[in-house]
Amino acid sequence: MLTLKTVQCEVAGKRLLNLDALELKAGEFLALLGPNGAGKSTLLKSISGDMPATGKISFYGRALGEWPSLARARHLGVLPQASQLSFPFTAREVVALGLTPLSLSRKQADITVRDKMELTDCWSFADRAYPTLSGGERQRVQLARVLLQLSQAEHSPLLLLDEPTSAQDLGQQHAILALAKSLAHDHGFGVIAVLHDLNQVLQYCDRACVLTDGQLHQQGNPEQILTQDMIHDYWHYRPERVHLADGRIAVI
Amino acid sequence: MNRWPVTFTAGSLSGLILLAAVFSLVSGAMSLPAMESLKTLFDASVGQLFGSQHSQLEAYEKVVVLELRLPRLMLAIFVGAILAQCGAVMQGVFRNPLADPGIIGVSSGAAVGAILAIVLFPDAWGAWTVPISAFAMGLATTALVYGLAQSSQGTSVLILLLAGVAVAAFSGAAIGFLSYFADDQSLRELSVWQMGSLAGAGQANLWLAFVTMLALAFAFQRRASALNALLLGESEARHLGIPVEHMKLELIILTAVGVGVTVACAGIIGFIGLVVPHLVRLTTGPNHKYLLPLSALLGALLLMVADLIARTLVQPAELPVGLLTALLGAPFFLVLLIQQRKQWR
Repeated sequence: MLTLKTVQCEVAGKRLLNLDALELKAGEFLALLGPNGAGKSTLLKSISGDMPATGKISFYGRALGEWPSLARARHLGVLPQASQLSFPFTAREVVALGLTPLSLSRKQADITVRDKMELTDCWSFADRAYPTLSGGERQRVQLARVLLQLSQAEHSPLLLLDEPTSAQDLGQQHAILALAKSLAHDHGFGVIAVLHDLNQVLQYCDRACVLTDGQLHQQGNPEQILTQDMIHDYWHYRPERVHLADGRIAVI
Repeated sequence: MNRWPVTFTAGSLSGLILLAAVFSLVSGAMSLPAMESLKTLFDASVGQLFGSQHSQLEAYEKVVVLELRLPRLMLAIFVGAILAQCGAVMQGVFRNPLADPGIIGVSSGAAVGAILAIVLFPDAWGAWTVPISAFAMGLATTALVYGLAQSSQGTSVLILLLAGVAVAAFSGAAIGFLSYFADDQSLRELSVWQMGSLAGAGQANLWLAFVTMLALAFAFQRRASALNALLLGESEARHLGIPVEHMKLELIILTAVGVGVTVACAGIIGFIGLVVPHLVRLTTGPNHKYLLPLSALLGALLLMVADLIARTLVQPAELPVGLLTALLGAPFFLVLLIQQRKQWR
């Protein structure tokens, strides 16, 4: 669904991203890994159009910049890292902003809003003011909004998650990653997430891409590429790799 | 969240506007019998169709009602509605509930334009000299502020804000400079003009304000959901399919025209555009679909009431209405701020 070729991004003369090629298939959950400042967020922003990038970024065979804005909005969802709002919207109203590019009847809209809020576990505080919510709650409200935005896509949509677990407690982290995995595997979404916890990558993601200095250094099945040496090379920390009883791998 | 129902709020505001209009019509420096004043209005509108006349007022008293009080209260409604909507829109574009419609430099530019006209070329276009000059300078200043905020990344809201502040400071200095060289007559004229007044209500500027109000209400309402999306942030709005740069430019132009027209018709009237949308948000929430029309209603109501007070408080003289809105608006706004500080922190 998504193909990147020779994508470069320069800001103030500094090259933040220099990527030869990257491809994402529908139904795939891809993790972007790398130390701080490696260009992970820059890559997401180049795809979402928030950073000016040169090169080819094509989505279903068509350059992303050439998509009509509403059709694009129905197929490309971006979950921001953090989101401030200085106006007293309720959580439900924030989610309902995801209706902007859609055409739904009022009744359908109400049902879909509730559906997405239950999916991301934020229905219980639907009528609370957004500025009074915790960081984790806000992020789940934003995720519900983004999923709502993608609910009328004709092709499998692409979901970009910038550190979706950063503000969440342990239970919610796993709930969100399980949701992302199910969106990919059961509903055909393409999902790209910036993640830091390698065990979560091992547990949920189909493929991992490792970036440093704006370049894509390695990609592949997380269990195969996340070796002791490799982790030490990138993060300067040598973990232990253990085989769990059910055959999965964890790094400690 | 406890909010007032939108229809109830709209209904009550409309009722209050009607009430305030009746009060405005029957009170003023010249004391006229209330019922007779209302009959005069009835005669001039419905009565004219049937050729029946009921009012017992003398001809010159009818003139006071129909040609002084009526146009003035109508101008208050139109100007109040425009200012309040422009305020709501600017607060949305800047994602800041403390933004004022003058933030893009239009009021300070218009002030300079008016004073240039009063001091340097008072008779260039007859009675329209000051309004035209004010309007043109207001728009030119907005264009300057907007131009300054352009970069390769688009329009920077932060620079827009700072440029607005800088331009306001510069025009303050320019006004001081021009005042220093002005004679007594122009000095008096420009100080009254700067404080805002609805006394100049006449056919031409009533039509101008009326048409502007309708056009803006329509144009803003069509952009209500875009304004809602903009509150999330510019990137988020773009991801939701809003052409953000284009939208910002349109909203800024519409606001500059709106504020420019109010300044041309009534001088500088502060705080309506700042306080009204804020109040509406507190009662019925920040959704622009309702915020815009309700702000228009409340803005109309408040300016009409302020003008009623302005012309009856020290009668037979009158206060400039802009002075009164600032005098009442500023402390009121502080109270809101303090309350909000407790609520949101």
